[in-house]
Amino acid sequence: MQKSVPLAGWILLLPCSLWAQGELQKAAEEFKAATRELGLRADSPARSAGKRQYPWQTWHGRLSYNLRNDVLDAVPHEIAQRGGGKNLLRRGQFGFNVAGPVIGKSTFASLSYEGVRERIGRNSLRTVAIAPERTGDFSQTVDSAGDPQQIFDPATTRLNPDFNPARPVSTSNLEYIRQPFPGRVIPSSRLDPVAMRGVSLYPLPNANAGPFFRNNYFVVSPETNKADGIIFKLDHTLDEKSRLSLSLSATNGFAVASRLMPTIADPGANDRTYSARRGTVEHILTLSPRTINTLTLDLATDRSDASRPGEVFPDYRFSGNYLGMGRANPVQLTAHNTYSLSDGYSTRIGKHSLRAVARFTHYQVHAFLPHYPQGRYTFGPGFTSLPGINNTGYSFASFLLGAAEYSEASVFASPSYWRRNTASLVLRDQYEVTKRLNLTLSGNMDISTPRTEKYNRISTVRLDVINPANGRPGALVAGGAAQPVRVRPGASVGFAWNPTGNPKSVVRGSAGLSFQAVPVYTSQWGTQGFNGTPTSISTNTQLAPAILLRNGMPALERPLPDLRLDFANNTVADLVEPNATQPFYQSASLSYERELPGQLIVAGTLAHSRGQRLFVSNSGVNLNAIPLENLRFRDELNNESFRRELRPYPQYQRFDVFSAWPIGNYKRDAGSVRVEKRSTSGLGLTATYEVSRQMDDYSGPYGVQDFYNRRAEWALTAYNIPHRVSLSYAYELPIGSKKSLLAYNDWRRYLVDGWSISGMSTLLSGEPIALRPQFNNTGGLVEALRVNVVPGIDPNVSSRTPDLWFNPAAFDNPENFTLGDGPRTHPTLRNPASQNHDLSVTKRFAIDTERALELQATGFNFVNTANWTNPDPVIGPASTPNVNAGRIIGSVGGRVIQVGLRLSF
Amino acid sequence: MTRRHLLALFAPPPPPEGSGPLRLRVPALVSKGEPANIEATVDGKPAKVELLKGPQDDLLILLVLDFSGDISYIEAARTGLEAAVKELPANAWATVLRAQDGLRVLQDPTGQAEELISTINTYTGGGKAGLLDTVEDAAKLADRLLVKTATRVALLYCTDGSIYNYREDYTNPVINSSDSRDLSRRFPDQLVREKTQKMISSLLQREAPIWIVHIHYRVDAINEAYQRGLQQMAEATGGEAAICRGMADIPSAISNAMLRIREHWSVFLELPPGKSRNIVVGLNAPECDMTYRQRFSVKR
Repeated sequence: MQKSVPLAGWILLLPCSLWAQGELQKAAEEFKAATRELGLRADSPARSAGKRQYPWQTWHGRLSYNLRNDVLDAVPHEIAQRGGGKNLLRRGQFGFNVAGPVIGKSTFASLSYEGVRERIGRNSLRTVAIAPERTGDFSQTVDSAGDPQQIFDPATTRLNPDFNPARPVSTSNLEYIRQPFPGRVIPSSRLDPVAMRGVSLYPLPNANAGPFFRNNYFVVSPETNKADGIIFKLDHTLDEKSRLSLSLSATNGFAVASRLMPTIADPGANDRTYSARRGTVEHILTLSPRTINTLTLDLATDRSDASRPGEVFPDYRFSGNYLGMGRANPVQLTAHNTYSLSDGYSTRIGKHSLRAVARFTHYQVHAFLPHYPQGRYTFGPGFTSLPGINNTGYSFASFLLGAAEYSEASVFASPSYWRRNTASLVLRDQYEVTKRLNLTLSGNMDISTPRTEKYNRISTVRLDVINPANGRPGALVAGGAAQPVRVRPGASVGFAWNPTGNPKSVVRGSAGLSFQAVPVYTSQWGTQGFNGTPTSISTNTQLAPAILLRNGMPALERPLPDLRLDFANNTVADLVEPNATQPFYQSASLSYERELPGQLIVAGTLAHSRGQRLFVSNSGVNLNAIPLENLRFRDELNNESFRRELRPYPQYQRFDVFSAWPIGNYKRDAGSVRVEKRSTSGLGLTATYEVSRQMDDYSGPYGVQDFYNRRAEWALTAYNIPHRVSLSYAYELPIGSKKSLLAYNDWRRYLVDGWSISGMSTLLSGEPIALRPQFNNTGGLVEALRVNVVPGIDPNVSSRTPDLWFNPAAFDNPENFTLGDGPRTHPTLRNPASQNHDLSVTKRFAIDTERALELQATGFNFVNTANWTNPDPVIGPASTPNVNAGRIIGSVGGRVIQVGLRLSF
Repeated sequence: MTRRHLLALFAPPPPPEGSGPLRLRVPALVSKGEPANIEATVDGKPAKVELLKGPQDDLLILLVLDFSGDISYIEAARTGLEAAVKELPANAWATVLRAQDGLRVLQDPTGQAEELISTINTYTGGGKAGLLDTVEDAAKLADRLLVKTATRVALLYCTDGSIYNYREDYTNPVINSSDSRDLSRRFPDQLVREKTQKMISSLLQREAPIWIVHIHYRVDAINEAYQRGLQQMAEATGGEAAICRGMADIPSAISNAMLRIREHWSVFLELPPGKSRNIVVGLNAPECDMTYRQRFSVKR
């Protein structure tokens, strides 16, 4: 409040005030003259020819080059542990950017280019067959306890006349009698010639990480990447109220994947040629000081061609630890196109800031992805086991006999051209209730058409259609949209409140409800009938193979397209959820933020979120699962014809729901504290600590034990990291000619000016350990069997070391045909914590006020920390323990240095 | 305070620039007392204090509007500016400029609050952020007014700009999206820091103090660096920056900035002879708590 001035004061102040008005008037006149001269006024004269600015005077930009080379790096721990002396890394990243006005001040252009040339070593530690095994000699092969591995000759199989069906199958009550291979050697005459050709392409062991001969193949293979891309932007001011901007980007590249083995049997990823194009046109119209309209057109296309020409090989998979051969999807052609038009309208009415956004998007996904054009063959121990007895048989032995327990091939006649349209409307009101309280209300509505195919080559199993083969529900129906048009609303509310009237303290809260849109999947899922998957299934994996390699895959019985209702029978059939049920999310958060003296900001947040009907993949849902009460049938379950009749839809093996079946649930609670320190001395620091707990009924590396009791699957989320600490900082060092220390003004300023450091550190506690039993003898009913908990034994160890991270004696392999009673993920056991620390040091050389050269050295994991790998989670029975359970065999990580140079002008 | 008016009335006009020794106007903020009998040093050597201008002396505020974002934040800023302009005393005039597409004059200097408020209310924001593109021009303009008139001059930027919304690229966007091992963007704030350091070097050549009120705090790493850079830039010129973390913060931040501008002092020094371009100024006044700009780059 201004003080009142007495009369005498006014008399004295009057001339003073007049003088002041005069000076300010003079300043105003000078302001007008200066702004006119500097061209800052509408009535400024055009610049004279003598003052013309050339493009190089008004354009800015930079040239940059970043180098990484293994000469600068530490040897990665995983390589050093295998006796290696160096990694392979050659990487050059180079680019430029120029930007500036092109026509007066109203049009501004920017062009950026970046290229990458990289060759990097990829290492992998795997298990392959030892040399004797490749010729059928398993005399040196041991089980996980180190005892000789028994393999049996399937040709000697005969019924046990003394078998008592009233008692469980056991070594004392065998259903079938089988003789072991003499000397545990398969005679060479019995070896399958196709399998032996595969063996000739399979690598020999070259390492001995163990235990026993496991983890015996270590490979460091180069991966290359070549990419070039540009971004061009144009921004044009049409007049005071409207502006048009254009953004175009393009990138092309070619990536050569690393090889796990140097033959056509390599199971590694495909090489890939790819390109991406983006274009955006945006028009901003300021209708009034309080009303803005933004019209945006977005176009995007991504194309990828992944294959290795000339490398065509079947996909061989071995149960157990052995590295497979071949790969799925050896040919992958995909293209994604997105066309989007949106209009946003913002206005202010009274104390309400209103915003409406309408958007229409058309998606196109083109895919040609035959999974197994040369066939997929899986090999298990059953065919070389003593039927019904655990720890007998060997998957690689079954392979050498050419006896696959399951096989399928992909006969894909044509690509798929998927389409979907989405229209959405979002309305938001930010309401200033009082000076201390702001409220935000938001509502949205999305309308999505179902996924359709350009040529109507679409199909799905419909569970309400009778299958002509067996008269049971469930038949493949082709054509039309598999799902209805869906409307999904959403709403949220939020507030910001200054409880004490102090603007430095803010309480924020929010709550929201939303649905997740059903994506357009990049696959050919839902095209059976137009494409085929001839499948062979073993009648009993212990007694008969699904197929012998030497006989090859059976051909499709009928030509494509085959749109009969029973086409997908006896296969893993594609099932599209018929109601387009959408995942539903709820979230709420509350935070308190306080700015303290010294530019210190502290914020605490509590957050809760949950999701229902989340999309899960095939490991999380199986609508054709046999109810687990049928485990009582015990060994009869090994008979496929018996098992089939127990399935809800016996005509199908199971359903492929392609990560799109809405049945998962999750809940997450988190609390976090964030501390920020800002300092004009050049220090910026942010530290965050978060504690969280996330539970769900679907996540994890193995899947769900009981598909009919999701409540029993409720456990810690497999990737839940309960404690997370992060620290980031940047500091302009207080040295140099314009700083408080070493303020040299002579030649030494070139050495001390322009130093800064940046860093990031992250510390993460471990994820919950997901244990699994070594043997799963449940007749194929349980896909993800859990372990049993041994009562009274502490799973924790007093001192966790790599030699013993947890106590495996606290768990047990469930008995045959019983479920495990342990949790899907353990509530207290955690994998090792990890940490990473990155540091960047920059030295800036100012050439003049506009140009500067920056040298930058960045150390990723600069302290060269080794992070332990996860302990072995496989629990064997007491009779055949996994001696490696709970042990950690190595660590990963290593310092990487990048040196960069940037010239800015 | 009337005594200062009297002194100002009979004080000699500011010495003309371009003749005689080099002069420097050092902005200072006083938290306690009054800077009478002030003593000054330049690079540790005594320097002559030629003139002292304080809150009762004339002031011209160059208000630069740089709004391109959420209208609810802009509206809160308008409310704050309106209130702050109404409180301007008679010895403080203001002018309004906009920062989009280069610096543009919206309102010539005036002491009429209604005119200023009308200009602020009819200003149409939108488009691209402009602070980094215009602050050097604005500082140059302010310096010219400082040199050629006897008024105190200060710049006040009101901005809501995101570093992502500049025409020029300071964010180093990903160009090759498939380059999964790109570590050059691990510290994405480096371009911003380089830009702000470059601007600080440039602004150290200017004398007018700059205040910045950023009305929309953003939490991502690049905007954090940008907002921190704005603070460094402002404080390097002897001004201050406030980053509003909520809408309720905006009116008070603007009001506080206006108050600090009105209360800032300008100490006219005669530079002693020397060759140094980067100089360090020291000020000392008995019984007065004072913060002031210490570093200047001068052209000798």
